[in-house]
Amino acid sequence: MAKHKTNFPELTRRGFLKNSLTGISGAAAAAVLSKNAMATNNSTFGSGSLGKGMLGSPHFAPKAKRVINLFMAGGPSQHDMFDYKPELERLHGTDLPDSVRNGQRLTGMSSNQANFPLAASHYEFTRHGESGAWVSELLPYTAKIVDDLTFIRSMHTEAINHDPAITYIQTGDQQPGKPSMGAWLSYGLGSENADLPSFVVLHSSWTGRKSAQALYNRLWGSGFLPADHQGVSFQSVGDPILYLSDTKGVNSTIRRRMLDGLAKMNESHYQKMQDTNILSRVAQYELANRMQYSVPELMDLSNESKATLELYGPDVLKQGTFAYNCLIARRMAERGVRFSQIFHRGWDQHGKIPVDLPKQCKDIDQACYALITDLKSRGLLEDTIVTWGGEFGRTAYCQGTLNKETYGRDHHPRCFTSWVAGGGFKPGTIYGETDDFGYNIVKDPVHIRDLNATILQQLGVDHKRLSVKFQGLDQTLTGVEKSHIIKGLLA
Amino acid sequence: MTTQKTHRAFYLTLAIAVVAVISLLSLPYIVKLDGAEGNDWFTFLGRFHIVILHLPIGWIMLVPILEYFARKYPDKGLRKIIHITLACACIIALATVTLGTTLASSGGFSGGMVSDHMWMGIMTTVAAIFAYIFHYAREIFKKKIFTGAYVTSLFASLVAVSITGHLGGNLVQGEDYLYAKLPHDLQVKLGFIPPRMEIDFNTPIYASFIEPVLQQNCVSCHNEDKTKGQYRMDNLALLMQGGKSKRTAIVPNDIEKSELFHRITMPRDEKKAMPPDGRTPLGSDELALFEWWINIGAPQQESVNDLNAEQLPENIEKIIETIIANHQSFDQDIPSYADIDFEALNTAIIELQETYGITISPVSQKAQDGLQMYAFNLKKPLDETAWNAISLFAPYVSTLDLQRAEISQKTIDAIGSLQSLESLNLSNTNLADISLESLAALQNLKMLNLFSSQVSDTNITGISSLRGLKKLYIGNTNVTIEGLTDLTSKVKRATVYHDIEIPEPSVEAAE
Repeated sequence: MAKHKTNFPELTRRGFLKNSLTGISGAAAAAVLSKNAMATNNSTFGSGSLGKGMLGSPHFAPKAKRVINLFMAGGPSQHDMFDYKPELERLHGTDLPDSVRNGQRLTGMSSNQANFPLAASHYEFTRHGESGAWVSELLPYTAKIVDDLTFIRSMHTEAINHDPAITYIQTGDQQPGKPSMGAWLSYGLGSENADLPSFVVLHSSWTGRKSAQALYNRLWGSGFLPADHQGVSFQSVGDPILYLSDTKGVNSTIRRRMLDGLAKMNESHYQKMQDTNILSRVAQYELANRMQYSVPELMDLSNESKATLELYGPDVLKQGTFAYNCLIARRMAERGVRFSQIFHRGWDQHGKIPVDLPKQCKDIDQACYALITDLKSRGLLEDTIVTWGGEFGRTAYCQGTLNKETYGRDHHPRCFTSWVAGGGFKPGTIYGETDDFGYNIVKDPVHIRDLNATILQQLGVDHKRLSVKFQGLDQTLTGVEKSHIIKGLLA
Repeated sequence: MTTQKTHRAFYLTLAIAVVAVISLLSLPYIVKLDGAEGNDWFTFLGRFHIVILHLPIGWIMLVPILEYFARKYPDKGLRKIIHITLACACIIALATVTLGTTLASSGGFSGGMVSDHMWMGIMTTVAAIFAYIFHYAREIFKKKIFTGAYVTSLFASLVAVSITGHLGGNLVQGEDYLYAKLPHDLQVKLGFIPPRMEIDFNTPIYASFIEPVLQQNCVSCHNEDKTKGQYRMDNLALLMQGGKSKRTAIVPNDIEKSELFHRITMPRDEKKAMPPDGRTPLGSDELALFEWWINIGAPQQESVNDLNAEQLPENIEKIIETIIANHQSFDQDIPSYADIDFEALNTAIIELQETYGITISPVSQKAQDGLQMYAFNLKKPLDETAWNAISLFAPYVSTLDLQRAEISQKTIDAIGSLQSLESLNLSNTNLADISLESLAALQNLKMLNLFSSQVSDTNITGISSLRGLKKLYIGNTNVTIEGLTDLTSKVKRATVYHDIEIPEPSVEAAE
């Protein structure tokens, strides 16, 4: 604690309250501009997502200001969606050569299989747009926007099971306990809009197999960063945030007086303890108070035009659907939310791809198309990065019995496909290549931390310099191993 | 040695000298410097001109030094050394002139500077021979008149050798070699070069981006004074025309037929590759710029902003932007808010934040990236007090985001004073009854977002002079196809994002 003490200005009651009310601490405001940019760096530690970020300003002029992350939890099958391998049609049913697998460890779910029959996709692929990107018939809407997307067919990770893999891609480490990307951005860059959280998480319903991998709130947690940087997870049923509306008999004046009184007590407690969690808590109370007005306004779709609603498809008005969440994400982008994350579960097709995958694709296809199209027409795609992908890919070989009705695919970390759009990424690009089996990367590999480093770069952040000392390391989102800015992805 | 013998030796020397002088003086009438490439063997030999040319310079310049000491400490030995040195200087000067002429005639040189250099070289040698002869005569006849003649011709030779050396240096290194590395403004002050012209997207492409490349890489060998290959590149008409090869150097719109482009893109081991062996070849950016310029018709007066969007590929735009940025940073320091009073600035920023809910923050940690202003929760419309506060840092605001805010005519007029503005977001506002004429002052504006802003054909014309605009959003507004067509014919470089249905055949407009 003694160390943190140096990060705080001496707080006066007025300054303390002002901080809570306006979202700018006295010290932070005084340091909006400084001769020495670095001098502002640590002065606002703990001022929360409401004021400026820890960096003061981005390291360099940013191309993008915010991120919308569309996360397909479970590991979507690149073989049936984007990474077309005509060679697999010829080899369909034959065993995966050992030379290709090359000692790759497998999950316990398929490691005891007697053989590994290669499985061609059941779905037809065609090329689309000027870029000629291959997209399967499962994604007719996504196929229309390929010229706005940057496909990365050479994503890879080390983790092979859901929990470590998803923790890895969200936090940069397979071990739990590290801050997620949204928390890092909230911490580093702060919020643009003091009335909304800088990191919001939305959960979507899905129509594939009902039993899906669970998600845990540490995936949008703040780890060792101040707690107010963790993602605010909206409820997908009922009130997006519980108890946000005034309780019967408590009007806004009474609430304000209560909060002022509470802040006063918290202040004196903070003066004694110097515990940053107290500041985080006050900040959260105040944010919640402002969100009483800002969230209903955010969630109110009544002003959306008919054309817009039609763009997102028939599910758009059903709360909790992926389409609904995409529209909310667009509204959050308009209101300056730094990091919006939409989770869509149910992509873990170990079996029955032909039964479940089409449903999963239908859940997201039109909404992805609508989100990109909508952002683009409003000028928001200029400075908003949209990313789509899962935590790993799926195998070229079949898990279980190989037939056209029930074939499945196991987890595959060696290659998978993600796409990115907007924010200075190069549209209409297909980056990276896998071998004829879709098993190994043969050209331009992109590790998950490379993509994270590249996204930070577009946000004006040097991934090595957004760091916090913890457990003896200069912790960063990209960890201690070497990350590469992938220039080939950028315009 | 008897006097008679001595005299005979002198007259013999004199005879040789007369022959030498006559042949030297007739040399320019025999050898024509027509810029034609000659025999390789001659070129090979001729290049030894460069190797030996410093010897006559050194030896001729040594003579006055020896002369000074010979007079201060009268000594027969020193006098003899002068005699020998002068003789050597004459011989080596003759050889240098001969090799130089060989090089010039076979190496494709032509132009005023080469012939001046040649004449001065000849004069140097002639004067040196005179000096030698007079010095010799003075020793033999001991007449004062020879001393005067000797000193005069030695002096003439010294002057001539200096001029020759300078011209030769200019020929090889380029005329600006000596002063090119002086600070730029000193060069301008001393009158070596004209002041730099402003270059931006509104200045002629040729003069701003093509001519400087030629000046730096080509013109030193292809000008009025030195015209290699009978090709001049210091004048646009002659540049297009071509040289000795009789092939047209630049055929607008036809890169295949443009001989100049062939020459500068040839493999470096080709004899005709330009700039020649030993010179720095053009960089990839410069070549790309050249190719693009020829392909769009080698325009002479048009500026980048006169072009249509499809005439300006992204890579070229980037190159041009870099050139402009380098050019500007060369001339002046970019003004930055770091130069003004921080106290006042911070007070104003906090005031604006608290009263109006407008946030002002640095775009990045680099002050030259400027400031951004945005308001997601504008508490009240920006009035005169607000704009007075904003005027403090108005020159540094590069981004303004007032989406969903209440916009008055006054606000638009005030925005027009933010001259550094590059990005302006007025989406989801009501601009129906507001004139946008004041925005015409924003010549640096690249992105304008008027999505859902109720603009119509009547007031959208206010922005048609924003020629540098790259992206314009007018979706969900009252602009009709007529307004759009009119607009796209003016803001040619802009990609316009709209939702207007365009009947076939489609009019130029993206999206």
